[in-house]
Amino acid sequence: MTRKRIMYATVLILAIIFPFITPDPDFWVSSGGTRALWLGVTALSMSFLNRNLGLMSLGQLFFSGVAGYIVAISSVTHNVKFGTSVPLAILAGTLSGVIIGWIALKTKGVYFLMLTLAVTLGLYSFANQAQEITRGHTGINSIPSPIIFGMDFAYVKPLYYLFLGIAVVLFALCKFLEKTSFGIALKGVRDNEDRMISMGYRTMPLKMIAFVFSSFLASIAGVMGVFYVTNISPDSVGLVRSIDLLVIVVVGGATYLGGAFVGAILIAVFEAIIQDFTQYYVGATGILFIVVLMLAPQGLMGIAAQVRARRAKKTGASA
Amino acid sequence: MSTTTKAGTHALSLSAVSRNFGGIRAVADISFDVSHGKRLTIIGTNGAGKSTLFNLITGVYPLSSGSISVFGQDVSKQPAHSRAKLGIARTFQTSKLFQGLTVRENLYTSLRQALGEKKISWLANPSESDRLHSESTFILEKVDLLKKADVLVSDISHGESRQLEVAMALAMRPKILMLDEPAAGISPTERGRLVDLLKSLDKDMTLILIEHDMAVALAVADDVIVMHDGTMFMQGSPDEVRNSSAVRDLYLGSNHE
Repeated sequence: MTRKRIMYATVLILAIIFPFITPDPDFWVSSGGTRALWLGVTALSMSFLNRNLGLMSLGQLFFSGVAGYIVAISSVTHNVKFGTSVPLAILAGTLSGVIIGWIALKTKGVYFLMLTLAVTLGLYSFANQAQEITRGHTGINSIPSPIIFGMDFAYVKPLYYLFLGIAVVLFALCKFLEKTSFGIALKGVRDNEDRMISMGYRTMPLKMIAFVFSSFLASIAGVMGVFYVTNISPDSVGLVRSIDLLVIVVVGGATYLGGAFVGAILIAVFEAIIQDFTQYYVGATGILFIVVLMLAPQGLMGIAAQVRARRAKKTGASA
Repeated sequence: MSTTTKAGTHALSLSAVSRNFGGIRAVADISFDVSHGKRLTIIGTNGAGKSTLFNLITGVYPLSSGSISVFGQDVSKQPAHSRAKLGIARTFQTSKLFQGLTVRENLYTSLRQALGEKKISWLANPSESDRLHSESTFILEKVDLLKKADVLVSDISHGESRQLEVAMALAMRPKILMLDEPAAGISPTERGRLVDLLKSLDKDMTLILIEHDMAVALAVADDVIVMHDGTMFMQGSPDEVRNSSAVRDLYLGSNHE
């Protein structure tokens, strides 16, 4: 336990001093740090569901998209203040999780994956076609930055620290939930739902709460995305982005919460570097994906367990 | 678990219970009563319908016909979780433990139900609750698993899984405890411990046991039901079953010496 705490503290300290130790801070804090934190929170919403309920959702960008579009439309088109639009957007994204969850949670495995992907693609089509609301494929641009207590988050460092704060709080919240009776019951449903039912648990409410919580995380990530990218378009919620997210989760380690951030950092940093060398950077990311999975099938966070298992096998064989 | 048990009321009553899977008659016309506090063992060859019968009693499968009542209350149409609330706890023939949780966390899922859902907050950490912690320690000690408390279930042995199965059912503080082949695949030492444990159970608890191992089955039973081909072949005391030539024929084939 203490070893884990020391590791968390080290990571946190590194994250805090990162803007002061990195070369070319304006580029790296934004393209490496802030972007990784935004992608990491989005991926966290996916990992939480996969780790605790065994369900891989490609619908997270739907919730991000709902929240992101609400903030973008209300602030650019209707001049609504962020103090109103941001809570409203997160609430709307979260509540849409109730409806989607109610339908999707009746399925499992690949059906769940397809159903949640269909929902994301539905939003993509709507955003493309409902031009009077979403401005179609051009999307909504020049979304202003938030100013909180006089601090302008258009600057690189304030936005980075804001995102770091959000990421730390949400990660800690996930960790906390996993230790509770609720978290243990969720894993029970993941491992054997029939048994939980025969023990007297009502599993649907448990699954719903987990799903809605993950859409809450995705909604927050959606608002972060709008503030980071300063625009939103159908491509922000399309198939390609959903697959990007899946790559992040799997490369980081889909059964580890920290994997969301490890994967996000790797992909953000890799893409930031590779874009200077080749225009085929999407293909390069694909090759990276294959290499990581060949060497570490459980993702980067799973390497430690992989090494332990191999060592145990060796000692077992020699004994 | 609010059911009061009156004298004279059966803990469990089955009346003409049947279940078909397509054209296959898995359980046919089974009727019996189990008095409160009795130990009933169900034996029978593979495919006799024993586990299906368990699934019918606990509500995993719906009945094709017949009725089941628990402490005088008809539960035939009730879902599994409602029957569990009446005080039925069971183990499974093939281990269906929560592989990704530790031994102790598996037990917490049972204890939470036993202590009453409302008494334990969903947002509380069970290992910080003195009550859950001490209760789980007490039960783990009873089944000799305390040293494995913090090990993931995927990393414990088969015998230990069986012990934990029994521990989890016990943790539910059931009025009716149903064990599906608890001795399958465990070592002789573990088997001895299991018999001791079953004999030491609270006399207020009704026990229904499916068991292949005759030594275990007959050591704890007051009453034995022999099932064959989905039907009830014989019901009697352990001695009657042990001495029945018809049962011997069934188990060993009719040509044995």
